Amino acid sequence: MSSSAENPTLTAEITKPSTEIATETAQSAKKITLKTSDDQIFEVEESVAMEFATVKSFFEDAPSSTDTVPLPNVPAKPFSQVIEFCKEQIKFKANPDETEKKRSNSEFVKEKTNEDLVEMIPVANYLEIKDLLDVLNQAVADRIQNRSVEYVRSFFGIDNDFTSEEEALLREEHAWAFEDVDED
Amino acid sequence: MILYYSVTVSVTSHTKDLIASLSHLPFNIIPSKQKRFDRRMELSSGSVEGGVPVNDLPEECWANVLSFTTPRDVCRFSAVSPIFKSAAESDVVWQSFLPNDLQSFLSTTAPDGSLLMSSASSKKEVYFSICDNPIIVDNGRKSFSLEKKSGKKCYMLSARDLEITSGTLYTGHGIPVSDSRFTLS
Repeated sequence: MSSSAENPTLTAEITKPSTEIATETAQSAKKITLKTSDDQIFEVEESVAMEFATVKSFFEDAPSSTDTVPLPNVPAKPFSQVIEFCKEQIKFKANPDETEKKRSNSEFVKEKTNEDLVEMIPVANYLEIKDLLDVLNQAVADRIQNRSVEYVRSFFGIDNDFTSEEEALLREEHAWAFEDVDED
Repeated sequence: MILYYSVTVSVTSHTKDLIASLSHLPFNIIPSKQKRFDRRMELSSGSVEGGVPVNDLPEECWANVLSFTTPRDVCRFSAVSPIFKSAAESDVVWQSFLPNDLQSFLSTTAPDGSLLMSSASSKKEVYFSICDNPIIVDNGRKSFSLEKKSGKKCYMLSARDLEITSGTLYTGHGIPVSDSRFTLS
């Protein structure tokens, strides 16, 4: 999924003096290299990487660093989807439009499977991307609302560590909340 | 732990900076930064392919998800697993089901309600107390409660608070009832 650096001569306008091309290309193409837990290398634009609060604070502490940033808790598959989200978000930073942003966010989650959403939550949490976390939490909540306990366990892949007695007690305590739930 | 350190050795000294910087981040969900930092280190060691397994997600993550559901869902989902149960008890979740302006609303209109806010041991307790015991507000003219399943605000108006603007049939005199919950006269 890593995007290769673009050839400067292809993107820069040839009519400009060569020195100007060089500086402009260096600024617009500033990329940050990130390495996921499964050893995939991602080169993302600085503005996108700065959406990750965890990465941002790393560069605040070491502004001149050019090293690859390791993300030991982040696998490549959900990470690529997180990058997709952040790229969209940046557009709205430059050009705020709440209605369009909402539409774009709901479009983003709509096409994701339950598994995609569940995998992105720990990544968004680790990278501290608050906007994404809110969007994911809302999307997941919408999909589990009025569902059964069993449905929620399989939705998230959660182990049930309760003994059958403990579970029975909880169901009894909140009996009113177990009536009329949706069919699985 | 072993897995994590094997990574740090192979990268650079800046990895240590990253680790150090993680523990200094501002954070408003977990009170202890150190606790959160430790937790991350723990997670990075036991995970499959380096990702955080869902079963290892911290409680506040689940609390944030639950905040977007309803009070009825939260009570039901407390039976999902022990970590869901503790998330389902948390103030983060129940605060989100209480009206935003509750504190100021109660302190200006209902001294009893204010007392409840300061004496209750948790936001969940506040929530269910307001569901089950309506609070008299607005100088004894209305009673306020929350609907248990959804957390929606409910008002019961006293007869005195009703304004009938059309027709003459129902205008006239109120009959005081001594056991009314609302203020007489």
